[in-house]
Parts: sequence; C-alpha cells; structure tokens
Amino acid sequence: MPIILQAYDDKEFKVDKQTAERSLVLKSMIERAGDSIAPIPLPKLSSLVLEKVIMFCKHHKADQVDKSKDYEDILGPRKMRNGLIRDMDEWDKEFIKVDKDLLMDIVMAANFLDIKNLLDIGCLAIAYMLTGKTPEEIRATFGIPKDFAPGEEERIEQEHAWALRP
Amino acid sequence: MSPAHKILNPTRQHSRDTAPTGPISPLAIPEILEHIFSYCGEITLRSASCVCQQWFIICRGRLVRELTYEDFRRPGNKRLSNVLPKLQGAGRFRWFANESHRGKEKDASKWRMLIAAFQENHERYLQSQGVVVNTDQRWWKKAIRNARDVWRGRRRRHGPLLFDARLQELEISGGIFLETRLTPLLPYLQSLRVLRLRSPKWSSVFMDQLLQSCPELTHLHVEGLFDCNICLPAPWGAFDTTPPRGQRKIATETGQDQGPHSQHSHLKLRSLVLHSLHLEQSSLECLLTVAPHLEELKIVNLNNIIAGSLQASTFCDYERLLRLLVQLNLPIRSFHFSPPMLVKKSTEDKVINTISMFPLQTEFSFWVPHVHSLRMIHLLNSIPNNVTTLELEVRERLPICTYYAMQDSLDAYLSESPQLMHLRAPYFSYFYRYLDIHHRIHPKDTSWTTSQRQVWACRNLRTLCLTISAPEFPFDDQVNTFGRVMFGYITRVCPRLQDLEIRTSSVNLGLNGGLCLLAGLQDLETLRIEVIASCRVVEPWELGWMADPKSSAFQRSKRQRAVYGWDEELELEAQVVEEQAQKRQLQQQQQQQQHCYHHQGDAMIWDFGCDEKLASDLRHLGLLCDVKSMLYYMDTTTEFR
Repeated sequence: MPIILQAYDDKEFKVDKQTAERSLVLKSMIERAGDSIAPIPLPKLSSLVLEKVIMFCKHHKADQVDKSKDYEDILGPRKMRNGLIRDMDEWDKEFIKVDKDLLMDIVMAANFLDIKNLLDIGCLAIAYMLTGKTPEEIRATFGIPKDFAPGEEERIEQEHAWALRP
Repeated sequence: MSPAHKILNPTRQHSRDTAPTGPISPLAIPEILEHIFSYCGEITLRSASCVCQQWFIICRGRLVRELTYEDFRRPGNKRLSNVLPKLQGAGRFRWFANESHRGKEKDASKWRMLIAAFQENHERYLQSQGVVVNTDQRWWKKAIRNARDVWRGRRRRHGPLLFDARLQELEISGGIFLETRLTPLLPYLQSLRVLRLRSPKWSSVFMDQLLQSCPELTHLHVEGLFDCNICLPAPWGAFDTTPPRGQRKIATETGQDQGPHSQHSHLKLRSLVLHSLHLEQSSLECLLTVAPHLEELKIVNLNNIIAGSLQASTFCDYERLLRLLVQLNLPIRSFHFSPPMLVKKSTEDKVINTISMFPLQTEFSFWVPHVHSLRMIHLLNSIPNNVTTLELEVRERLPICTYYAMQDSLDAYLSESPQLMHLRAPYFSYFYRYLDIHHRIHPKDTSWTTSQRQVWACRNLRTLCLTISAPEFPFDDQVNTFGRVMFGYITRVCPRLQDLEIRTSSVNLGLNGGLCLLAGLQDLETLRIEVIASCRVVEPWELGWMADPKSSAFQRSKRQRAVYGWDEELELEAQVVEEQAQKRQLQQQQQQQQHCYHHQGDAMIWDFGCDEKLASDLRHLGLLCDVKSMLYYMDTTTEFR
C-alpha cells in the first residue's frame, strides 16, 4: 500500500512503505494511522525538499537502520572528517552537492523527519563548508548576526592566542 | 552583569528556546550545531567559536587547549614557572624532558613543581565537586607550598578562563625514569583519556597502577628504544591471571582459562601502542579480554619475557594472539605485525590471512629491519586491498635501508594500490629515479629505464611520510631538477595530500628548486621537509620567494624579476626537451618497425599507466617552465589560499 506525503504547496508524493519508514517520524505516524490512506501532511517541507528527501530514502531503503554507528566517540574529529568522507559513497556525495539554501532545508527536513543518515551527511557537508573560513566569512556565508557585546570577541581571541602560544 | 561575566556564565540554549518567528535555520538549533561541530577540526572550531554567542557556547566544550613545556634552553622556550600557571584549563599537556638534567636537583625541583601543579588542579576540581581536601598529609607538602607561591600571583593576572577543562591528554617524553616520575603523578590523572610515554631510559611502567588510576583511558602509547628498555611487569591488573615475575614457570595457554576476566569491569581502551618493550604476552592477552572497544593494536618489536628468568626472546606467538583476537571479535581497525627473524613463512602467511579476516581493518603496519628484501616483497604483495593506511616501521638508528629490491616492491605496491590513503614510512628510503619518469635528472644516463614503470595509483593519498633519496654528489642544477621532479610529481600524482613529510639528503628550497610547486596541493595542512646528511647547506634566504602578505606586491615583483632572468635557461631547456622528444620518437618508430605486429603502438611516450590529464600534467615534470607556470598561477588565481 503506497503512502501519500503532502508537501507545503499541496503537491503529493506516493512512496512505498519501506521508503517512508526510513524516517522514524513517518514510521510512527504510519503505525498510528493503521490502514488509513489519507495523505500525511508535511507543512514544514516544500515539494522541492520533499522530493530530495524521498530520493534519498528510496536509494537507502534497503539499508539496515541500526547500521549507522556513533563514530564520534571512537575517532577524533580529524580522523572523523577523513574517515567519513572516505566512507561516504559516491551517490551520497553527488546527492549532497546542492546549493547552500537547499542544503539547509534538507538538514532541517532530516532533523524534523528524524532520518539519521541524511542528517549525518548534511551536517558533514556544512562542516566541510566551515573548514578554512574566518569568523567573518562564516557570518557572511550563512547570514549570522554578530551578537557579542563589546570586548567579548577580543576576549575569546585572546584565549585562543593563549592556547596557540603557551 | 559585565560582558565577560555574562559570557562565562551562559544560559544553555535548546531548540525549543529559539524564537518561532521567520524561517528557522538549522544553524540556530543547538542539537544540529553540536552534530556539525563534531565533524570539525580544531582550527575550524576556533573560528566557529568567534562567530556568535551561541556558537561559542557550543564550541567551548570541544576545544582543547594545548600546553607544551620543553626543558631545553632554546630561544622561544618558556620557563616552567610561566608554563605551569596555565595548566588550569589545559586539556592537553606535553612535557619534553631534558636527558642531561636527569638526576640533578634542578630536574627534581621541576618535577616537584609539576606534581604540585597537577595536585592543585585536581584539588580545585574536587572542591568544585564539593569534596573537602586535606593537603597537609602529602609528603611533598613543603615543595608544593613553595611551588604554589611561584605561580599563584601570576595566575591572578590571567583571570578566570573561558575554556576550562580537565586534563585529558598527557605526553611525557625524554630521558626519564618512568617508575619514579610517573607514579607520583598518577593520583591526579583520573580524567586522563590519552597517555603517551616515550623514554630512552631503562625503566618500568606498572600497568596495574596506571589502569587503576586512569579509568577513562582510551589511548595508551608506551614507546622505548630498539633494545626494549621499558618493562611492563605482570600482573597488569585484577583481570591478569599471570603470576608476578619469578613465580611462574610454565606459560599458560590463554583464551581457555579466563574465568575471572568476565567479572572484571571493561576498560575503555580504544588504542594500545606498545613499542619496543619487555612484556609478557599472556598479560597482554588478558588485557585484550577486558578491552572490548580496542580498535588499534600495535605491538611493535615486542620482547617477550620468559617467566622466571631475566632472559628475553623476541618471539611473539602471533598465531596465538590473532586466534584470541578473532575469538574475542574485537573491532580492530589497525594492526601491526613485526615479523620476527626466525618465523616460518607459513606462519607469516597465516598471520596475513587472519589480518585480512578482520572486517573493519583498514590500517596495517610492519617492522622492516627484521625483514629482508624478499620477505618484504612477499608481505607487501599479500597486504589485503582493504588496507588504506600502510605504515613501515624502520629502526631509526639503522642506516637508511637502500635495498633496491625493497624500494622496487614499494614502488610496485604504490602503483597498484588506488585505495591507499595514508603512507607513513619516514625512515624508508625511496629511490628518486622512480619519480623521474622523463629522465630529467640524468638525461644522458640510459642504463636506468622507466618504460615499464607506472605512476603511483594512489590518487587519494592524504598522508605521505617518506624519505626520498637524492642524487649522490650532485651538481647544483641536478639538485634543482631533483627538487622540481620530486615536488612536481607529488603535487600532480597526489593532489589531495593533507600531511606531507619528506626527508631527503639534498634539496634547494629556492625558487628554481621547485618547492613552490606544492602550492598546487590545495588541501595541504602540514608540511615538513627535513634535510639529512646534506653535502649542500640549506640557507634560510632560499625561502625569500615566498610572498609575505604584508609586502606581497613588492615580493611578487621581486619574484617576477627573478623569473625574467630565466629566459636563457628556459630556451636551452626547450631545446633539450625537443631533442629528447625527437630521439624518443625515433626510437619508438624503430621499435614499431621491428615489432609492428607484436606491439600495437602501446608504448606511447606518456604511457605510465595513468589517465590523459595526469599525463599532460606531468609533461613538464622537472622543467623550469613548470615552476614558471605555477608562479603564474599563484600570481593570477584568486582562489589560491
């Protein structure tokens, strides 16, 4: 029985149950709904984002859910970065090559729908975007306002300088 | 509330605290930010902590402050009394002891100061947890009081710290007796996760004390010298069934009688590196049974103590060890194999086969000095292709191994292993002529052929740590060509390198020596070039071509003027290259005429087993025009970092 997902702009997507169950939120909704065939409204997701998410879930529907392991404890951050990029398969790499706004929406959707693998690769892509940037560049790229009180930023930089020059 | 006070006492935010107005960015949700920062390195985290208040609060716990003390009189080295006050809040501490101070009163007083600093740090933590501490009972009471007086006044000037953390990583190296120096420190190392000890002195490390004092330990590295000067006497803890030295006569077969281990609480160890030590294999095996998270196991140059005697043998029963590893189903990712001198080839095969059975294993290393060239070829050929990290341990003080057969086999391995990502062989000498695919260094020497050779296949190499031999008794222009060949080859063949460490005997770091070619490595983070036993002195002014950001326009114009002076050389070079190309074409035509039915023209000029783009990139390898085009790229491109 196909599951119907309805995006914010009323566009509907038919997906099979296995695909939809990649999302833990949808899984519990489907279980609760039982045999009902009413579309599941997802008012926070635009059709463009939902399409991408469904594409990801379709590709990964055969994966075991508990396969993903919390590597962060095991490996240091640096190893993590190298390790995961290496481990990330080619399809995922191509999938996540999107513009910044769509990437943010995908990460939000992954967080909302509770799709761990998608959240992992989305966060990794954002972390990759942060690499090598100065605070100013990060603020400019992601449109983050600077909310430090006068003197606070200097204090933090001073502490970093301390750490660098013992 | 003052700004500094506000930032030191932040109110923790959660996603539900964020304002509901407008579209929410994932970068405003603390849980997602935590997830993102878990993938970031320290440099990125430093930048991120300066972005906004929320980011600062989340990054704060992830940043580790590093403190280093080197007990050597060198310009730039700080005094101990300036370093220790900063211990509070430092997450990582590195102490490099000076061997010549050993045993002197000066050295002892420094250690007392260190112990006192650790103690105060520890007590501060206990007090913050509401525990009452009585320091009067300590035997070094007076020393502590003196040492505290030295830095107490100083610390006040620093004020409260923004990045406060308990000590997590400790590294002690240098000529120290570990049993006397480390033991008094142990009670204050409860939060320690990483411990690295390196000592060239004969000493002992008592593992039972160590493991009991540091229950959070995840990484333990103990390294001695080649003659196994450090001893790890049994027992290693409550889990160890090995009787203490002198009481045991017969080695027990482990894996069968380990009843008490199952009751013992498990250790958190993830990485265990024991380098050149005396230890009992059965103690190690008992430890393995209580370390279910172990991922890295490197027992390099193990000297197994024969129980009940002071004699030692280099024999380690690898088959037994591996059987146990398989039986315990440990998530081993990294394994080291030191093939002993007298091991049978069949045992070696069995070991390699077992290693390839580990499902997660991606790192492999082995010890070269024991291995003669034929065995080395055998080992390299049999490394399973899921290995992405290869480490060749070569004894540091031995003359650099220069057996051509070994170099040949490493070259063959590199040309056939596209999966390799990290190669660490700092003392393994690689012959420079393998890199010189166009015979630019010795154009007239025809005895060396590269026609059958292939370019390295490991395009995704991230770490390269290798000794590259330079031409013996070279002329100046040969040194320059060698540099251009070496740097050009590495840049083109491994464009994704992050860590590069090269040891070589002769190199010119000037503009025509080709160091600037490394500018093509966009991901490079660490670069280390070590010149060993050079017949040519490397001068600091050779690096004068590097453009300083403050006066880059001036520097660049100076650099360009230097390049204009190359016109004559470039013309000469073009002529030589043309002649070479014509000669090679002629040779090929002759060859094709002779074997036109056998060879179907497959021996093309640029056929080194690589794709066309790489072949065209390597076209000018070793030439001055290669450097010129790289300088043009550096001066014109805006993407250049």
